[in-house]
Amino acid sequence: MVVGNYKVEMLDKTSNQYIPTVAGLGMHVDVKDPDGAVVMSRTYASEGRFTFTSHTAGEHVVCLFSNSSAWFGGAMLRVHLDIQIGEHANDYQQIATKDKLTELQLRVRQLIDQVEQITKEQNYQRNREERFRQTSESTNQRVLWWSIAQTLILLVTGFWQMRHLKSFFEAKKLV
Amino acid sequence: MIKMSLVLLVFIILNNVAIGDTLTFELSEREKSCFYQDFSGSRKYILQYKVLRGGNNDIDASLESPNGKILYKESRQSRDEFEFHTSNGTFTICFSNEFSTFSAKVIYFELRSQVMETLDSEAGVTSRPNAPTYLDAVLETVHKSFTRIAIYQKDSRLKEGSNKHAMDSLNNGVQFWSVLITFSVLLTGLGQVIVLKTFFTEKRKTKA
Repeated sequence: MVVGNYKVEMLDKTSNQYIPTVAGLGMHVDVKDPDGAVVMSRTYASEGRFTFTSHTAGEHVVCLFSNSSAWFGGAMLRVHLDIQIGEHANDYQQIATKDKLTELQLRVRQLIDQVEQITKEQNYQRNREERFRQTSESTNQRVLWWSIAQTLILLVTGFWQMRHLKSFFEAKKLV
Repeated sequence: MIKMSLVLLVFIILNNVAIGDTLTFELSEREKSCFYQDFSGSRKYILQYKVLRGGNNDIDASLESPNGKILYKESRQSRDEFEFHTSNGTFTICFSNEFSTFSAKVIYFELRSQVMETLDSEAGVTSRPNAPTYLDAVLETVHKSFTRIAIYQKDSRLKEGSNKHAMDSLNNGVQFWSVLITFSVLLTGLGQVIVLKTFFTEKRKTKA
């Protein structure tokens, strides 16, 4: 699960400070998964929080753009963005009090969380390596078959040309 | 949190991980993107960036301190790592793809503290009642090793992403050009015969 928080501020030319924008400025958030399918596409206010859950391993694309075509005469916008990935809360004090952990237990819990992340990443890499291998095999196959096909097509075209021209010249009584 | 100043933003993933703040974003051709980070106090920080894909995999990058001093400025680099001392204020990190006419670039960059976070600071523990024991030291060493592993994994993931993109491009390229070449061969073969025949249809030549 991915949680994103954003806040858009506008540069106020008079005070040269970034102030919260007036109402009416919305931000459209688009999220696409690694295969290009749209996971989420919604419009939020100038300050908002969006969440989505990823189902495929790989690169997801998050797009933020303004939905208002009437731009405030080229005003500068400042966007604050914070994206948290994963369900685990990193507030260990909260976890310690909730699960009543001693100091040592909390430290070990932190290390266990780290190892879990490392394991997740390793699994991800293994998955990617497999897909990479598939693409590699496919390229290899394609190169092989297209080379054979093109050689054959070249030979067939050559023979056809010669035969066609021979019968053409014979018809023209030039040979 | 990283702040950006642009009207249209396209990013790929922003991660606030134990190793630091990271962002992967796409920078269109002939455009420039700046990012801002507030710091307080003075610490050693590292800015690392890498062009993941696009064109010649190069980008202009610069780092400016709050009082306008340019701490780092390089042109057309594909990756680099730069250490600097933070101070109070907003630091500006700019990437420029203005030299490129056709290629959008996907850039990864991260800001992380040079000193690795300890278990205590991660847990939000500010002070300890007792002096650290041997066990504490061992646990810290393990934590440091795991953090290093996470950093290597991150580098590995970036490289894998670039490789995958290159491989996909290669695969699609092979397909596309093979079809094109086959079509060209057939067209040329047919064209040659047709053109040759026109040489012999209008006028009579004694020799072929």
